[in-house]
Amino acid sequence: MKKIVSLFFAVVLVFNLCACSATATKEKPVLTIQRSEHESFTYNKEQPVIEELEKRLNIDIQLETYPSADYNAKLNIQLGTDDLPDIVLGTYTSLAQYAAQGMFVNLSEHMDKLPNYKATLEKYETLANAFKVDGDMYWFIQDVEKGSVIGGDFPMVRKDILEDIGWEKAPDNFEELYEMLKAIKEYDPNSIPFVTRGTSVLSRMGYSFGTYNNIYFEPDEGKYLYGPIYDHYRDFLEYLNRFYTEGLLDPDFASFNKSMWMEYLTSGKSFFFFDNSSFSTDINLVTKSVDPEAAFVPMLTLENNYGSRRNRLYEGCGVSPLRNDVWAISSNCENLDAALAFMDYLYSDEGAMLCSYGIEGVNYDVLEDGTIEFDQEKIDWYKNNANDPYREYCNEIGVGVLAVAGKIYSENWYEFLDQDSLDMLAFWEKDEYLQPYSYSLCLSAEDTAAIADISTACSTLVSSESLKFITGTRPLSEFGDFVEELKAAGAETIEEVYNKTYQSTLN
Amino acid sequence: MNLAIAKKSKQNRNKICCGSKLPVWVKRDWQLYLMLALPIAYYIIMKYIPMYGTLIAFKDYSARLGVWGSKWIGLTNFKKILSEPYFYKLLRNTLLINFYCLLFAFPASILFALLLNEMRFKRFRKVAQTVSYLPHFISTVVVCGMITNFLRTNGGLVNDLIALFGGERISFLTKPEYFRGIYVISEIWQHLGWDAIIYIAALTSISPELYEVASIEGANRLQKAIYVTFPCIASTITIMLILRIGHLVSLGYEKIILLYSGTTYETADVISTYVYRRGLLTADFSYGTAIELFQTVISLILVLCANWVGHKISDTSLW
Amino acid sequence: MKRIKALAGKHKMNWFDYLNCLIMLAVIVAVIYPLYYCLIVSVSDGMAVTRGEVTWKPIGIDFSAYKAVFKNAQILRSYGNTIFYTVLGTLINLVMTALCAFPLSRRKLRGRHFLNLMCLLTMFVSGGMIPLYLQVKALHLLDTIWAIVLPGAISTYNMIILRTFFSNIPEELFDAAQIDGAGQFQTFLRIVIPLSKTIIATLVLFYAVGHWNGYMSSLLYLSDSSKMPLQMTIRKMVIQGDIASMTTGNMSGGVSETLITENKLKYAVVMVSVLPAVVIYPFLQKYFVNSVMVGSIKE
Repeated sequence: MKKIVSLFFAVVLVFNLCACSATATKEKPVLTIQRSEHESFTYNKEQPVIEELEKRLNIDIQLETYPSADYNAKLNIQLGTDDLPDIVLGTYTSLAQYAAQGMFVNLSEHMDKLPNYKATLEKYETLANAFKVDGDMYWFIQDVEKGSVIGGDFPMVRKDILEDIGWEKAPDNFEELYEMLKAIKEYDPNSIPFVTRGTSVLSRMGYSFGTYNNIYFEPDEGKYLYGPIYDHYRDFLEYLNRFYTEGLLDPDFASFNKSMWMEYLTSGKSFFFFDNSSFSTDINLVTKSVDPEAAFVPMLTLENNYGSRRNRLYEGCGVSPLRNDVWAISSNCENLDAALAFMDYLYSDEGAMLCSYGIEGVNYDVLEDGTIEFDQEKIDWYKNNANDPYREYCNEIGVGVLAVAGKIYSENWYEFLDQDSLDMLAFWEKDEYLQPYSYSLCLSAEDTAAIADISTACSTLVSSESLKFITGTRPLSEFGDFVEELKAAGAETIEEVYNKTYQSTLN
Repeated sequence: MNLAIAKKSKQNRNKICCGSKLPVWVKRDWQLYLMLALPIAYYIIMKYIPMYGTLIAFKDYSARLGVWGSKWIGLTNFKKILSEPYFYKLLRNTLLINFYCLLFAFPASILFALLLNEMRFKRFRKVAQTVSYLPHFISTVVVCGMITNFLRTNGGLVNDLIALFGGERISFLTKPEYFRGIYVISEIWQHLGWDAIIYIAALTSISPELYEVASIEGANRLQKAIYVTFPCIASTITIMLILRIGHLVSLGYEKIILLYSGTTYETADVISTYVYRRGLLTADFSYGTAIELFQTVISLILVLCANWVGHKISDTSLW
Repeated sequence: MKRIKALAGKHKMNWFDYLNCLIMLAVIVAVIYPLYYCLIVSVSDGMAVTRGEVTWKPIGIDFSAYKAVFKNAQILRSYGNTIFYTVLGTLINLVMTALCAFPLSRRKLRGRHFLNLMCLLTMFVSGGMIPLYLQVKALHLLDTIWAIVLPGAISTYNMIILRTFFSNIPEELFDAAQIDGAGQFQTFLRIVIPLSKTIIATLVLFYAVGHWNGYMSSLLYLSDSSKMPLQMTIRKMVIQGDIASMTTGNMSGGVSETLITENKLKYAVVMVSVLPAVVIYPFLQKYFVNSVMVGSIKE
């Protein structure tokens, strides 16, 4: 047996030697770029932008893409075996612990070669600090500059139901919201006025209500809080418990998935949701096919019981232009200079224009006053034939946040949007209470390890007990015990770790 | 080709028989050992050499340093796992779900194979056999989507039926007491036909003469099933049973995550789902490997016991 | 076979046969309806599907989901890749599994217990994905077809099934072969393999389906998109990860999914991947009804 084993080791060794001598150097530097492939965006040879990038920078780009659902599995094995391609896309919070291990090029050491990216970082100084690991920057943050396409968790209501129940204007605070839902239930007893995507209501609506079901940044107090150990959370559970017992929420709401959620909203069973507002485009398409008046419209930010108004935008839009997805260069990259030059180019104005709108003169023209004009025929074709004209056009030419891009301009797309979306954007532009996305902090490796078990234990407790309180299987009088359980599991330690890290990013 | 090999082997055989003083078992079985060479090489290269990876469980694994270079942390991970009271709940849930599958889903496929075997209409039998294994190909996401759709309180098929017969609608998906039942039934639905294939294959090897003899001796169908059919597939059943018992502590996370919610954690949260949720916060290879190693140890103990019992009772053994 | 039929013909149908038919009918209905549901959803109007109106019959026939699946530039190539991987992979699986199972089924083989245990152990003990990945990399198999077919060349589970089957072959056959002067290998090829058609058909099914549905090894070991199998291409098109959005609450904004076609596409994909299984099964099924073994003993 030993002989066999040693024989195989020998074979493996020989293989290794052969391979080392076989790698030949090419003239053009090759860059392997890896990213996830979103379902609504496919990479193919016809997209002109990648070719243009290769030509402009005299490099050879090898694009490797994986399904977004499986991307983390792929990335994890690559990170776990230190076998990364030259440039990878990932979420900065999950890459942070590997940066500390030295798996990525520390960009702070190469800032002299990155003038454009340096300028971008300087523009967002305080915001960009959250992305640093131990004070160093390891990644190129995707920057959706001049972000205007707004998305976030907002309250949305069917406008025709308000007329039906005789309300002149939409609710302005959470109590009125409750009254409205009750009125809808009375008007149509078979309806389930409020539908949620599973338990995500705890975070989506929770923030607006003045709490959260996990660790979060509380702007009113200027620090991180573990939501469920405070009385606001109790009030929120009580509020939802009322919904549940009065039939304003579905008895199965906790197990609702996206398609069931869609079904309730499009079949006239539900009239209100508090979720990703951009879904309304698709929902309205279906509801309007039956009744042209039936459409979900946004409501202004509600006032909560504690006197504040807040709704949170998603990352990568409006006042939060930076995205959680970042590009990092592997420490094993053989063409570091080419990689740095390539990435920096994406942040130059020329590169940003290319990755946002395509090739000048081919995909768009710049008018004398500096505005950008697309081919009207293209716009018409996409508006008539596509479900989602803007994104499908982006896919055709290979631009936008789902492509290979660093800095992205997201204005000038208005012509691709339908009237509903434009109205919605105009509506939110007036809303002064929209709050920026709060970027997660990069915890140090020790902190991450220290709170991994605590966080899992706490969130398990929160998920199971919150629902018990809402459905009434556990009386709210026991909320104090629940808080004690959470504290015993270490909820306060999580707060400490986050606030400590937060303080260090302020300096 | 075959002929050439045969001739050659004959020559070799003669040579060995006449020439050397090798032991009898080598002379007799050298061809068998030769056949085993490739498979054993496979097992060593692809299975045994990578087993050094279990060391990760005892180390603070860092990919830059590699498995060997990472720092030893001893039993820290195991202490962490075993000192967590919630872990025993996870272990209990994992075992119970698997146990119910063993209790219901496992015999169901055997029964299904036997019933197919007794089916008199050949064409009907063929259709049933072909159709029954198709759910195996439907992806878990779609299966779970259908389950939630059928079971929901408002407008779900099952609850509509209950209401039709005057019963009260039940919120199946949010009550912890129903979770295991839902899981096991959906497992049966998905894998009944697929799992039966192996028994159907075993049933085809039963000699018709055995049935004839039994008929002559006046056995009725039930007796034939008990005294002829069942003993003939008993060894297959035993092997399958032992293997199943070996996997009592492991359960995939995908299906459970799609079916459970906070309200059903009490019965539905299992080891793999917990590790999955933890993995969303941090990719901790050492912790994951430690859990796997723990499961391995239990699996091995279970298999050894099951095999020992199997060997005693039916003289069937895995090795 | 004919004799059984004749035998059965003599008996009258009794209550048991009726009950049996009823049970089978129930199974068929329970199994067919969800598949039928997939089919009707995949061909119905997306809006009706979204509203949850499709339950018994398709509403507003619309094949756009299938068009979308086959419009994808990579789908045909990846279909071809999958067929290639499945054929080559299954072939390697069968040869390796048989080579392993036959010697281990011979009771007189020295060291059999040790070798059996050695194979069996791998079902429970594994080093995990990281060392296997490193091993595949060290062997220079990354991004080659061999990374797909070699690491899983033998499924120990299937090996045990085959071994159990081999060990049930009557010993007299081997004795007879030995008297005729056949070597072990010859016996294996001439006697054992022909007797094992049923179980080999079963393994073909098990292995081929595994390759057909498998995407994990291609996800881990392949990077060139032109080598990707069907399942990977499909996973790129359809949102499989409801899981992620259920647990974390999908917070990434600015990216909406086309919800209306999503469900339909999901179900169309089910149909596309079930289809080959429906097509190949009847070819294999004839091996599941013949009693091969006995006939050959008599000869």
